[in-house]
Amino acid sequence: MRPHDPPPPRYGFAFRKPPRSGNQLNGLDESEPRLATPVFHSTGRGAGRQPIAWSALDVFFNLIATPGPFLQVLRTLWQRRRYAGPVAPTRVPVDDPEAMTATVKTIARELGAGASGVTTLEDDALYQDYPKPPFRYAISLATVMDRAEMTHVPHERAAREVMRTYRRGSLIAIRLAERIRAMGWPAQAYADGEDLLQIPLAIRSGVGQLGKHGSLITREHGSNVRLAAVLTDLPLAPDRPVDIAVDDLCLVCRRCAEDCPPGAIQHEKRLVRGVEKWYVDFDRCVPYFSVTQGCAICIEVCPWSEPGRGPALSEGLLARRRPSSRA
Amino acid sequence: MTGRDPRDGTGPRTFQESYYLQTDRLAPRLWRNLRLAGYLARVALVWLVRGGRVRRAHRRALQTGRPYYIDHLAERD
Repeated sequence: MRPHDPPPPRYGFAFRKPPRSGNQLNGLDESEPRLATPVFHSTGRGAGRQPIAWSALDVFFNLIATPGPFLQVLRTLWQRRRYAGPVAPTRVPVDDPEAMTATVKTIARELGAGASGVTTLEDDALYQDYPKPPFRYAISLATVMDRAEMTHVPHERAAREVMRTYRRGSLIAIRLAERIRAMGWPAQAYADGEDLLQIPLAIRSGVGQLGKHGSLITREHGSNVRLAAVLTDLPLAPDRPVDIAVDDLCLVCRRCAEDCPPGAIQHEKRLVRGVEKWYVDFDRCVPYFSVTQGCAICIEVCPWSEPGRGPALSEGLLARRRPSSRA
Repeated sequence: MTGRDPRDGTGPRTFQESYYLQTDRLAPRLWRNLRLAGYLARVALVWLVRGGRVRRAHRRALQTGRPYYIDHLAERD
């Protein structure tokens, strides 16, 4: 697909005193590992810290939202009260974590998740100065967006679908957490809130891989998904990261980079907080993201997001790696 | 979000502290729902009133080519 008439990257807003570079705050070109810093979209003030560096643009982004996406945000906030709740007093014993993992994934699928995986909660999913959630495992959940609506990126109709999907994803996480608490194990949904980095959880739990556009790519649905998670102490068997050959494609494909109006997508991986990975130029991306209510061009033009194409794409790329295919 | 920091007793209260409950009892749930509804009404009012001003100013900036400075929107301590 091609984006519908994307506006040029010219902005009506400006800063008298520009905030510190988001790339710097994100740890671009830093060789030492460290926890992430909240930069944009953050409830970080909630833990008593200073306002985030890009909070002016964050507030602007929220205030210029059109009624459709804004109403979805309000509905999701209302749902959020159910993220936590009482745990049943009688605990169901878990003798076989692998069987329990399979059960949890079946429940997630029945609730509407397009993909799910299990991992342990590690530092790469945490922000610095945030209290670490008191849970051992994370269940990462991907909720699929309506592709027909998303072809309207970067306009209001797609933004409404994004927020609607976050709301659906949050409901899936809420219901899964409720099911786990009913078994007597602590569990809490983490969805639209910004207390956790969802992508590292999704990668480690095998839900997908990081793409050149800085978003997750899943095997079945490409990047046409939104992420949520349930954290729990229910004994589970962690999944492993998957290799669906995302890098094989991203290293040669230029599609998202060419279609990115502000030119934020780069062709080489970068060192970010001690890890080499795909990185999107924050200072170019986020102003455009803000005035288009979430943009999302890159994730929809990605070949992997075309319905039904992902599995064959992955198989084809993996087959090319085999020595016999080079002969 | 207002209240205190769980670590040192100061600073804003998180959404979690304000609205998550660990009980099934009816009265605390009703009170929580009432407070959350009030919070959401305030969010909607801010979007309507302050957002209306910002949206108008932004549209005017796009038409005139004179930038709309947004520094004043930053959250304060």
